[in-house]
Amino acid sequence: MANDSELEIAAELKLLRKAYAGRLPGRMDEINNCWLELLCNNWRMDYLANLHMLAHKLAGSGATYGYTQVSDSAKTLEQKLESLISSGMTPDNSQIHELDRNIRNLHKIIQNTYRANQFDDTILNSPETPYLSLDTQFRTIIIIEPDPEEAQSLAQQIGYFGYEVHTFKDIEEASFLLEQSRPVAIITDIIFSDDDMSGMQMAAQVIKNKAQDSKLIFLSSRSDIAARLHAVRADGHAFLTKPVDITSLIDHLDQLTGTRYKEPYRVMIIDDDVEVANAIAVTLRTAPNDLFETLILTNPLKILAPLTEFNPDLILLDMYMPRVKGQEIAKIIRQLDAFVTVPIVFLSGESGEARELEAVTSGGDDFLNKRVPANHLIDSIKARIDRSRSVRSLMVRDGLTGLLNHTKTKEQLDIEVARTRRRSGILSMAMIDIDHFKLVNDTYGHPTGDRVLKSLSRLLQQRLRRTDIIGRFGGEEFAVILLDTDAQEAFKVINDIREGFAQIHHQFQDHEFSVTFSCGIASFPEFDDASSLNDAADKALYEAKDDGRNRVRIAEKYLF
Amino acid sequence: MIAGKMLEKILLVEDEVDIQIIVQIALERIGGFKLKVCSSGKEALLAIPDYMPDLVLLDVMLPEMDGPTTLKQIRANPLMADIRVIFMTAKVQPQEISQYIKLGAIGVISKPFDPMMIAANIKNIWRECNGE
Repeated sequence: MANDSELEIAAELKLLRKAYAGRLPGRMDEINNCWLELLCNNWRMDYLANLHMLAHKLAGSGATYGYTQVSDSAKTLEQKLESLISSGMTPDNSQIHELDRNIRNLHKIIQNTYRANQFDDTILNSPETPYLSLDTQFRTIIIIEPDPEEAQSLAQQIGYFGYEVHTFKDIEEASFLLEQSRPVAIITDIIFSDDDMSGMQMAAQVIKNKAQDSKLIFLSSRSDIAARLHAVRADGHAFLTKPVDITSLIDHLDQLTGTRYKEPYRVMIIDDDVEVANAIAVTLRTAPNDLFETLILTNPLKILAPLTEFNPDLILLDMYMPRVKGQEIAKIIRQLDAFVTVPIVFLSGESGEARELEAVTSGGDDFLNKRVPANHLIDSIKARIDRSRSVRSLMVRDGLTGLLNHTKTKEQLDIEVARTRRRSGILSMAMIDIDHFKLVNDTYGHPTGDRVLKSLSRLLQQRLRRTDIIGRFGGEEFAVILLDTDAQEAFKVINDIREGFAQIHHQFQDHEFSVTFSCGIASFPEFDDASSLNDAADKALYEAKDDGRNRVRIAEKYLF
Repeated sequence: MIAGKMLEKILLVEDEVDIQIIVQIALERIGGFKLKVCSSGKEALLAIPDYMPDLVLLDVMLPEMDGPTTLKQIRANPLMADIRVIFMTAKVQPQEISQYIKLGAIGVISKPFDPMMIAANIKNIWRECNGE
């Protein structure tokens, strides 16, 4: 060692590793985007070369930062791309699928690496956490619509909600992408007349052959039962009449993506025996559809930090550990307000009524034998989590929008401010209020007003990161807490959303209208506790209103 | 030791920031070397006459002008022709390594590398080259 102690350097390297892990999702985004471009552009050589370069870099840097899995997976991808480039040929279907599997595998590894790195106590600086969701791949929508203007306008509207939209004028033009991009939905406006309804069915058949998993959504200016029946027979998932009500279209799309997009079940496994814990984790992780995320804790005495960071949906707890009993840990968990309701399931090598009773009386919800068959384990955990999630959601969510309710939002603000203070981090709070909302209700009625509220809540959910906290504060007022984000950055993000929201066409009967919102932003540590943040954001919001609405204002300290 | 020149100044040519950062820590802090970083072959060719490094640590896959081309340019310029070069690359098959040596490199550091070890590896290559 020349200048510094080895320890000091090791600590520094550790920080660098974390920072690198924080940048990984951004790099995965680049790869995903490049892959999509490649699929959409008939294998343009420059995209292929670019993708190869991205994989190459990741392969080289991953293990250098200690993430060998990232390197290995990127390396496999790199090699496949390399042989493709040197063959000079367009890949066939099976090759494309193989590449796709590879990319998804890499994606998964990166997500896990990124998450695993958030659990440390050290500061995680992740200014580059992407604001758009990672899984753009699974949010592809294809519109087949002969009228280019109509197609464009529809694509734009859907695009605001975070979907990746491609438009084509006919099936033939869409053909390639239909096969390759596995769109979630295909929205099509197939013109048909009474005597030529078979045309619709045939077209639908062609689409189905190319994209089996995709759902068909028909748009039509007719709404009679005959047209609807034909749509059903053509295996249509939904039938919408024109002019299209964008909110209900997005409802359908969200439902479709929701099933693929459901938040994974987070299961924390506490067992001093690494092998047992691993076996369970692997069983859960290999369940179909990436249902589970797991975190293993072999030292139960270190439960506190990971508990809040991982925020498990369910805890699997070994009953017998060397230094502490499972029941004792369960009691500790139950004494934490935030985890009173999280299901705790005891694991044990033995069974017997007495043991099970003991487990339940000490705050556990269930009792599982460690040797339970895989499918039983998966099903019983899944059922428990589903139930507890729906109960929780009644407690903490707003009925109309599904966002956090007022109380819960405030609670989260307290928690996040405390956490951010501990890490000497930053965060911003944005208060959003829809402009002239009373007018919307008075003019178009409450059901329409409710749809406007829902569309804003959706837009916020789509455009913000999953780690951001979004609540409905009441009436037409929303609160957003953006973690690791300063006021300037928050301004940019919310202002983008403001512009997007103003361009959404809301539907009332045959009439279209648009709505705007105003927003005030305040950030920590400039305002250094929850209530002054809240007040400052509120004040900035009212300044934005005073200045003429439809704008975002940042709270300034000297005014207080 | 008569022929042995001390290794003090290193020039890193590497386009990727992630690698730049970690090499910098590894070589300056662990190895105790003086380090300058360039992001492209062109930049390196401009920097070498000024900085006069003892060694150039050269990434193979660089945008525009790749590592081997950069090395050829270095060799073609009498001002820097005798500067020693080590390649950094993920391609470390025996025939690939011998290719790099033929081009005039004194050794190869394989990517990915262990940041705690890279300084020592470079010192070893340097020593071997000096016939120690």
